[in-house]
Amino acid sequence: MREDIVTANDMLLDRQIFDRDGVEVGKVDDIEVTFPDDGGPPVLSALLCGPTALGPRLGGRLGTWWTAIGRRLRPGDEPYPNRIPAELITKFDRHEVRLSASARELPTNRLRDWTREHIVSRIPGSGR
Amino acid sequence: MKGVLKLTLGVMTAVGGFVDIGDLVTTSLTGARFGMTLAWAVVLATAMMVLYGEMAGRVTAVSKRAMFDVVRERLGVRFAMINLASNALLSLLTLAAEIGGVALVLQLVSGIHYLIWVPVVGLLVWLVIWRLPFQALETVFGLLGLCLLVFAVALVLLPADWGALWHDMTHPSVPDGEATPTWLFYAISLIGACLVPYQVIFFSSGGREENWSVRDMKEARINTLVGFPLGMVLSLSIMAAMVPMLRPDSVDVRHLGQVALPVAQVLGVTGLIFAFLGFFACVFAAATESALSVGYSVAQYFGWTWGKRHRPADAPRFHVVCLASVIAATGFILTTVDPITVTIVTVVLGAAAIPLTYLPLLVVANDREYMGKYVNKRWQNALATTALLVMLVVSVATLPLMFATKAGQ
Amino acid sequence: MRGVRFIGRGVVDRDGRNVGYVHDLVFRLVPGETPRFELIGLECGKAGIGDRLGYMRDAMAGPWPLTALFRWLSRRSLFVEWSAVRMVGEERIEISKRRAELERFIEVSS
Repeated sequence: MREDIVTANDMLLDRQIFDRDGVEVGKVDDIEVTFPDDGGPPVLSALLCGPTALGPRLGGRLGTWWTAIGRRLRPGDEPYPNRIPAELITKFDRHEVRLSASARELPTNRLRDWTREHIVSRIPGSGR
Repeated sequence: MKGVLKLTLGVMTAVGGFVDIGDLVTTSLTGARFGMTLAWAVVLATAMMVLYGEMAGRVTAVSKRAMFDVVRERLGVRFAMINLASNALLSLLTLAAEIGGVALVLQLVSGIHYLIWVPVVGLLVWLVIWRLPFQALETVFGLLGLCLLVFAVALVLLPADWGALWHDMTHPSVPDGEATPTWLFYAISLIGACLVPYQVIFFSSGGREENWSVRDMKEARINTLVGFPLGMVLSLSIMAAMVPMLRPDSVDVRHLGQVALPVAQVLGVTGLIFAFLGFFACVFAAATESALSVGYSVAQYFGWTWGKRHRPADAPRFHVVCLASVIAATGFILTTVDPITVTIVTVVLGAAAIPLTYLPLLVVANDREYMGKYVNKRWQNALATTALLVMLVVSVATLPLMFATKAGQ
Repeated sequence: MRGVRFIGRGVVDRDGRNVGYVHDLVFRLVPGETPRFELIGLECGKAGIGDRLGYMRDAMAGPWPLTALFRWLSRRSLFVEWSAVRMVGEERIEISKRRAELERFIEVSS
C-alpha cells in the first residue's frame, strides 16, 4: 500500500494521544473533517475526545446512553465533543500521536481534574 | 539475588492468576473425586498460558504498550468494548470471590466469622493498590505464594501410591462410577481456572509498570517459562495431595481446612502455617490482580493515565475505578452470597470467555507495525492457532456441559 | 463533519443502486511540520470485519488462515473519490458515478 495513503480506521481512529510531555490525553474517539475556505479538499481539522464523541461510534442503546451521559457531564449541556485542533499535532504516525500542548491546557482534562480534586486528593497518601 | 527477583512478576502473576481461590477449589475437588486423571487439563492449560504469556510479554516489551491498550486501536471500538465489558464483569466477580476466599482463610485461622473479615480484607486490598509500590507487591506476594510448595513436600511424605498417581496422569480416563460429561466439565473448569483473562491483562500491564523494553524481552520470556509452570506444580501438588483422601463425599471444599488436611497430617502445625500463609498470599494476590485489572482495562480503553508507577494524583481516574471495584466487590460478598459458589460461577464463565482475551493477543503479536521484526514466527502461530481452536472448543462446550451435568453434580 | 457521519452509512450510486456501506475514510498524508491529512475519498463495500482487524495491510504476518481469509473478504472493496460524492445525507450518501465505474480500493492504494 502506498505510504501516504491511510484510512481513518487504520491510522487515525482509536489512537492513543500523548501531550508534549508524554502524558496520556485520551484516545481519538472521532475525527472532524472541514472544508477549507480556499476550496481545496476537505482536511482533518480536529481530533474529538470524550463520551459525546465515542457514544455515536459505539452505536446501539449503549452508545445512545453513553452519549447522553457525556452531554450531562458537560458544562451547559454542550452536545459537541471536546476538540483538539489539528494545529496542535506535532507527530502522527503509526507509533505515536503527539501534541504540542500540555494535557492541562486541553478540554479533555476535565474528568481527570474533577476526580483528582473531589475524590483522590481527599484520601491521604495521594501525593506521593 | 537480583536475578531471582527479576522473576517476581511472572511468579506473582502465576501465583495470583493460576493458584487463586478458583484453582484451589477446583483442583482439590478434582483431586479428591477423579484422582490425577484430570492432571492433563492443568498441563494443557499451562502450556497454552506459557505460549500466550510469552506473546503478551513480547508485545509489551517491543511496542511499549500494554496489551489491552492496543486492543481498541487494533480491533476497533466495538470489539474492544465487548472485551472490556466481559473482562470487567468477570474480574469484578472474581474479585468478590477472592475477597471472600481470603476472609474464609482468615476464618479458618482465627475462628472469627468470615463476614467480619470481608470489609477488612477489602480495605487491605485497596490499601495495597493505593500505596504499595508495584515491585514490592510482586516480591512479597510472589515469594509468600511459594509457601504452597509445602504441598509438594507433604506429597513426598504422604503414603501415596506413586505408581497409580503416575498412571492416572499419563493415561487419563474417566474413573469408574463417573460420567464422561461430568469429567469433561471438570476438565473445562480446570482450564478456565488456569486461563483467567485478568492474568494476561495484569502480566502485560505489569510489564509496562516495570517499563520493559526490547532489552527486557529475555527477562519477560523467563518470567513466563518459570512462573506459569511453577503455578502448575503448585496446582498439581494440591491435586495429588487430595488423592489419598479419595472419598468424594467426605471432601467438602466449602471448608478450606479439608484442603490443608494432608499437610497437617504429615507436617503438623508447621506445615499448616505454611499452607495457610500460602493460601492467604495466593488468594490475596489474586484479589489485588483482579482489582488492578479492572482499573487497567478501563483506563486503557479510554486512554487515561494508568498504573501504580504514577502517584495517585497523577492517575486519578484509574485509582477511582480500582477503588470503586473493591467497594462493589466487597459489597457483593457482604450480601452473604456463598464465596465458593461465586468462585465456581466465575471459573465457568471465565472458561466461556477465554477466546475473547486471547484472540486479540494473537492478532497484535502478528502485526509488524507494532512488533517489527519480533512478530510471531510461523511455528508460534501454528501452536497458537491450535491453542486458540482448543480454547474455542472449551468455550463453546462450557455452558452446555454445565447444564447437562448440573454444574458437575 | 464528524467521522461518525460517514462510516457505516449506505452509499447509493447515480442510478439509485446500492454500492454498499462506507467502511472507512481515505486520507492522503501531506508531510510537513504539522502533518496534514487530506480526505481523498471513501472506501466502501459490503459489511465486513477484515478491514477492522487490519488484515488488508501487508503488515500482518499471520496466522495464514486469517490473512488469507480476510484478504479474500476485502477483495471487492470499492473506492469513491471525494469529488464523486454528491450529497451526504442523514440516512445515506449519494455519489455521482455508477457503481461499475468505481475502482477497487486495492488498485488505488498500492
